[in-house]
Amino acid sequence: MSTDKHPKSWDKLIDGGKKNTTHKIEEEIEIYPWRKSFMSTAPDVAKPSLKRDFELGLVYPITEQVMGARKACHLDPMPPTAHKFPEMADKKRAILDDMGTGKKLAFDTKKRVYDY
Amino acid sequence: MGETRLTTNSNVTGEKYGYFLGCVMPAKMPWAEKATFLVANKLGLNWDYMKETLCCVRPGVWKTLDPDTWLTMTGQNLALAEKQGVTLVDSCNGCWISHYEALEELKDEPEKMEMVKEHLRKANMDFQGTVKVKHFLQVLYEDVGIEKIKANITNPLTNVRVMRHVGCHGRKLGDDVLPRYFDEILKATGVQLVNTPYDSMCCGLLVYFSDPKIAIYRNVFKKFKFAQDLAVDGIVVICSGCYDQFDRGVKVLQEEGDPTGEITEFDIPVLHFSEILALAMGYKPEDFGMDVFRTVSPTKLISKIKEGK
Repeated sequence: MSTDKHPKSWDKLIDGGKKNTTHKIEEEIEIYPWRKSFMSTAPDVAKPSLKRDFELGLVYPITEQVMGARKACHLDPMPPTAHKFPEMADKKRAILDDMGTGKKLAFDTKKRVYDY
Repeated sequence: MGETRLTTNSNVTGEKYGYFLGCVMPAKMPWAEKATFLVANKLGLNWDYMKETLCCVRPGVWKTLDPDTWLTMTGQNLALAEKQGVTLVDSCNGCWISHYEALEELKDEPEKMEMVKEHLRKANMDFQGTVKVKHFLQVLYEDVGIEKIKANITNPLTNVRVMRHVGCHGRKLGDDVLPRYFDEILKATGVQLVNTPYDSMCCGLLVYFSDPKIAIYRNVFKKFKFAQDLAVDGIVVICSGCYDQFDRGVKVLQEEGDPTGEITEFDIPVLHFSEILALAMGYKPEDFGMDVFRTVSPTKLISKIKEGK
């Protein structure tokens, strides 16, 4: 196996970041070759997990599969985190809005995409 | 199945502990979550979940982006613990370092404390900064004590050989604190700790975001190759962040191959510290779902323990 390529899991994260971004830097460079490129506030690789901070308040969701596994481990299928208390994620979003964090990250909290 | 109530009635320290799950534990390591509760119950701790929790928030990401946002969001968890009247307990080093450092910084810098209080107040949250933050290892070693832990070991795991990985943030207070607690408690369970040159090498989690090849083909691969060569029964971690990275790394190595082409199967399981303790305290693997939902199932280890070989 060659280590020239990135692991697929990393490529998936990059794709996730690009999918949630309206501004397509690579395409614009083709259209406007004289325009200077710039670095976005958050790198593509970090965008999916930052987005989940706004949406869930946590990095990982509790899926049906996870709930089944939790049950098999003799736990409540839904942990007593913000997954179960989504109002805590609402509070977190309110705090982030109050601090202007979405804007600083170029994350549109209403459309839930990185838009700049 | 109804809601799991895991609080104990007895209390060895008089302190009410609120277990902070973080992001990885509830979603990827339910067996470790359950094992931690079994251990806390066995030791008679006044132990329950800290509820309504959010991401810690991970300092490697948020502190780098904006320290004030990191302080405020971490403050939200600290304020919740304060309101619930619990000592916030982390077993993930990443969560612990975030809570510990934020609290220290807020105590040292009154202007930052005011800034955080102001933002939390707008979200109808009150914060005084009186909360205590502890690592699970501190609760075990400093509050419970090694003698009481030893007294609860009924099934010493003397036939089990493991590599251990305490994790970088676990070294924050020096090697004489959390890394020593980690080793001494593991030794109390009877396991054989195998020393390797890679014991203190980073899991690669933070490197992963900037250089995934270094993170996986150096950090994870070297450690697991060594573990494979030594034929240990597992690599023991306490940090959920390190677990997440090892799990991701092993998946990549299994699916995409290892850089040397020497290893065809990666079958060294990543074990949580609490699983080892729970087993040594007499619990059965099925009591906490030890073989559930894992990339590498510890099947061989479970058979070894059951057969007593």
